[in-house]
Amino acid sequence: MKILGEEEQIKIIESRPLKAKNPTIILALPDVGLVGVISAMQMIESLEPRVIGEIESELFPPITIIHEGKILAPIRIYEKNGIVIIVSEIPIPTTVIRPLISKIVSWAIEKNASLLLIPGGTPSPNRLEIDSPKVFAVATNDETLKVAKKHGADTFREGILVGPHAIALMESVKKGLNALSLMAQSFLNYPDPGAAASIIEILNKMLKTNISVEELLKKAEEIRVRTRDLMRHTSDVMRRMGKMKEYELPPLYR
Amino acid sequence: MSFHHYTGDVMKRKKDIFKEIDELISSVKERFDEIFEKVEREFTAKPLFNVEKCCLEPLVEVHETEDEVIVTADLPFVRSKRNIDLYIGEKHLEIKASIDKPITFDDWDVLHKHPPFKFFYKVVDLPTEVEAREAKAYFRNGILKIVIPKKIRGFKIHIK
Repeated sequence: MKILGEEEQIKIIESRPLKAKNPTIILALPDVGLVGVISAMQMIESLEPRVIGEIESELFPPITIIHEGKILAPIRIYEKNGIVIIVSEIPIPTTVIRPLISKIVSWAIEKNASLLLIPGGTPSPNRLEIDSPKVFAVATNDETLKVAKKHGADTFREGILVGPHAIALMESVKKGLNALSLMAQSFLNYPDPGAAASIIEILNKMLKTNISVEELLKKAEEIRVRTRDLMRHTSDVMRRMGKMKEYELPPLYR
Repeated sequence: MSFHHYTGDVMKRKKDIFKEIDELISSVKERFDEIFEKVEREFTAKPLFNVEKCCLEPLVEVHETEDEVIVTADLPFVRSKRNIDLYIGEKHLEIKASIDKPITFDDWDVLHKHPPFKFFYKVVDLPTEVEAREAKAYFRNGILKIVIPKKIRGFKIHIK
C-alpha cells in the first residue's frame, strides 16, 4: 500500500474544462479581516463566473455548504473571461496550508497561469483611524510589482508574512510562477469590507474589470454580521499559526 | 516557641501537612477547573446568537499594554454611541448595543425560530484588575473601543 503524502491527499477536481489559455488566478483563503474572501465574493457576485471545479481533501473539516438548496464544496473554483477565482468558505487548518498551496501553485503552472494573485489584508494596529486603507504589494518579480504600483499599490518593503500568502509567494518563487500578494491595511480579527474595497479598486484597474466598490460598501454591515462565524474560526487558526508575528520587524535585513 | 513545645507538636503537624496537601490539591484542581472552563468558553464553538433573548454576540478583542486593558468590539448596524450601554466591574465588562434595523436570518433553516435580532450583547472577562472608574470609551465606524487602566498597586521605591 502506498502511503500518500499530504499534497497527494489534496485533489483539484475540474468539473468543467478551463477555457482560458493564460488565466490570472485569484486565490482567496480566509485570513486577516477576511479581506481576500470578501473581495473574491464581491467579484463573484459582480462577474457571475461559472463554477468549474473544487478542491477536495480528507485533510479538510467535513463540511458541505448548502446555498439556495444547492450543495456546494467549501473550496470552489470559478472562471470567467480569463479570470479564475479560487475561494474558500472554511478556514484552512494550519497543517494543511502548505500542501494545499503547493498543490494550487503546481496546478497554476500546469494551466499556464500568467499570474497568481493573492488578495488579503495586513493587520494595522490603527485601522480605526484609517478611512481609506492603503494596499501593499509583494511580487515574485519586479515587472509585476511595477504593474501593481502603477495601479495604486505601495511596496511592502520590510516585514514578516505569516499564513497562506506567505507560503503562496515562497512556493511561487520556488516553482517559477509569477505571483503577487496585495495586502490592504485591515483589522486583524474583524471582517473588513473597507479593506476589501481598496483591493477591488486596484483589481479593477489591473484586470480591467468593473466590480462595484459602492455596492460592496453599501452592504458592508451585512457582510460584517454574516461573516462573524468564519472570522471567529479564522482568528483561532491565525492565533495558532503565529499571525502576531506580522506585527514584528524582521531581524535580518540583508 | 520552646523546643519541647515544638517536638510535642510533631504528630499534630504531620496530620496538618496531609491536610495541607489535600487543601493544596483541591485548590490546584479548582484553579485547573477554572482555567479549563475559561478555555472551553473561549474555544467551544457556541453560536454567536441567542434566539430566546433576540441578541447577537459581537466579535470582541481584548489586548493588554503595560498599563492598560484595551477591549474592542465590532458593532455593525449600531448607529451611535447613544445606542450603547456599557457597565464595568472589577472583572467584567458588559456591552449591550441596540441594532438600528433588526436583523433576521429568514433563509437560515438551522434556527427553529426567526426572531428579529435587536441588539448585540456580550460580557467580556477582563484579564487583570482594572481601575474601572477611569475607563474611557470611543465609538467610530461601528467599532467600539474601551481603554481601561490597569490597577497597578504599590508605593514608590526610592533608589539609594
